[in-house]
Amino acid sequence: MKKYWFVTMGAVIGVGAVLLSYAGNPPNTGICVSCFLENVAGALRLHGNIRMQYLRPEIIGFVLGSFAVSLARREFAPTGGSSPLLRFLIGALLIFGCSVFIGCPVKMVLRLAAGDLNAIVGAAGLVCGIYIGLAFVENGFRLGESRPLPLAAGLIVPGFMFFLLAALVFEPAFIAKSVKGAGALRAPLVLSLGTGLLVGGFAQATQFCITGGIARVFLWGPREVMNCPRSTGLLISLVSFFGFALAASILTGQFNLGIHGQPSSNDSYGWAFLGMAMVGFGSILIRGCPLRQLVAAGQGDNDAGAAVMGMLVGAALVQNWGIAGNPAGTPLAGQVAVLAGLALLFLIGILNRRRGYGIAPEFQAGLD
Amino acid sequence: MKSDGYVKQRREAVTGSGPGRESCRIAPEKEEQGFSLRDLDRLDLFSIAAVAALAAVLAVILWLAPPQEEKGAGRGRVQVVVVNPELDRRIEAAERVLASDNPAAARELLAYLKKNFSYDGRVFMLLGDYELRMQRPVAAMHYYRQAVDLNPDFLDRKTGLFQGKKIKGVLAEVAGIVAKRPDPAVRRELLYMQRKVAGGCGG
Repeated sequence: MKKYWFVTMGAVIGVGAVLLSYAGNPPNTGICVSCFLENVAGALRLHGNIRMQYLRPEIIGFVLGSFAVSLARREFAPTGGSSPLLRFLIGALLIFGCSVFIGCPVKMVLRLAAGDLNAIVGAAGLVCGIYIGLAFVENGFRLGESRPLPLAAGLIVPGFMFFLLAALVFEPAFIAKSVKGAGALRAPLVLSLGTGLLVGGFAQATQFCITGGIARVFLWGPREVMNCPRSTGLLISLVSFFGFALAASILTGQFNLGIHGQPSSNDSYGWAFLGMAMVGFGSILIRGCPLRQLVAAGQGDNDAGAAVMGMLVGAALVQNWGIAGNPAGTPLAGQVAVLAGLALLFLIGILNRRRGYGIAPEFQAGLD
Repeated sequence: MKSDGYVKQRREAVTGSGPGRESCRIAPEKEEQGFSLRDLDRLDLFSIAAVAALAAVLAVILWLAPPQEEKGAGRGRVQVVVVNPELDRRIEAAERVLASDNPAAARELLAYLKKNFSYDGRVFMLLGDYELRMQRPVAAMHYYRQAVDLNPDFLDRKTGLFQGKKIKGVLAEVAGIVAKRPDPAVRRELLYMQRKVAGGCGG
């Protein structure tokens, strides 16, 4: 794949996200998988926070964009059977970590690009978590190889997203919709859905993944990264994402360099670090950041679909248990969730290792 | 720059195809043997130490946590709207008194409201307005904080209660005061309010 496709990927998500924020999405939150899944969970009445209920079209777009492009590229492949329940659990933990930091890895980049220096702590935590996760992957961590599944299995998550799209358009009574709060801050439906579809489509084609891009630097070393087209491509996408988001933030007047008074931030730096460390660690164990899980689920990966369902349940629990960080800091429930979640990830790592071995086959697929 | 040899070694190391290590991909089928403590390697020991440390920190946090903290921590609470015609009447009266520049009467009325209706954000918003009229922006900010904590609608443009611009103005005034006379408690509250006003994706 030509390098300009990776640059375009970064441009689409960077400019698209900033424009969404400019057009009505919450500040610095043009795209945030964890926040938006909390909105979706609320809309499905999985939690009762009336300020966090909206079927975010972006989430639907990520999956359906990936679905459409994977069909067009003949890459739609229903697969699964690689520790789905474990992936479900880790998916929920990813959202716990994101909510404590107040944002997924995509939003972390958006926060940085909007001048929020608090997000540097999260970035450091993410890198640290990726490093720990890789230590397990390089030393025989395994989830079991996935195998081909019947077509119907691969259509479950895209089908669910078609259902959500129909519910978004026709607004049946069982779907909740915020009239105030963050859930009521939304860009026009066409723009949100269009951006989601574009991001999902490009992410499917380029295999865009924030944690995956960073992981490759540790995995192969800087020299090899420059020689491996996919590694180079992922890093190009990341740099392009940040660069275009930064430019778009400045041009739309959303850039505000500093620490204080930033949207979606607090001064619980230690917890933000640990929260994102949990996201990095967990993402490596299930081969992809939250956005990547959605995109992979769109191309028929049932294992990623299990992670997506875990993320959705995790998003509901974040609200029901009061885990999420807020301007006052990280609540006790969030602190407990991060510590217990990290401990759980370590235990999963220990219990799923084949000692004396290198990278398991399921992690070697698509490595070059 | 690292040599090509390094790259080769690195690749062999991570895929397990190098000397002294077996790759999962090319590994011959080995009989799974029972687990023994002798199998634990450095990564296992590091992980066990990490789990123990995390559990210890968790225990300390839970032990030190005040029992009340859990009550207010949840953001998933369903908002309960209390309809009280008497409160509405008194709040209207307080607003009129404040507008007519009668600080003594306003203070008396607001003291009554604070004592009897401390669950309603509007009471604290009026107290903030009163303090603002008395040229006490720090006290005003303190009351505005209580108001928006009780009812975030005061910072929500989509609601009729939105008071964001006024609160922003007060915060700017307090920022100036803190810059001249630093006070950690006031600064902490100011930063909290600045983050609240900035908004975000939280509920």
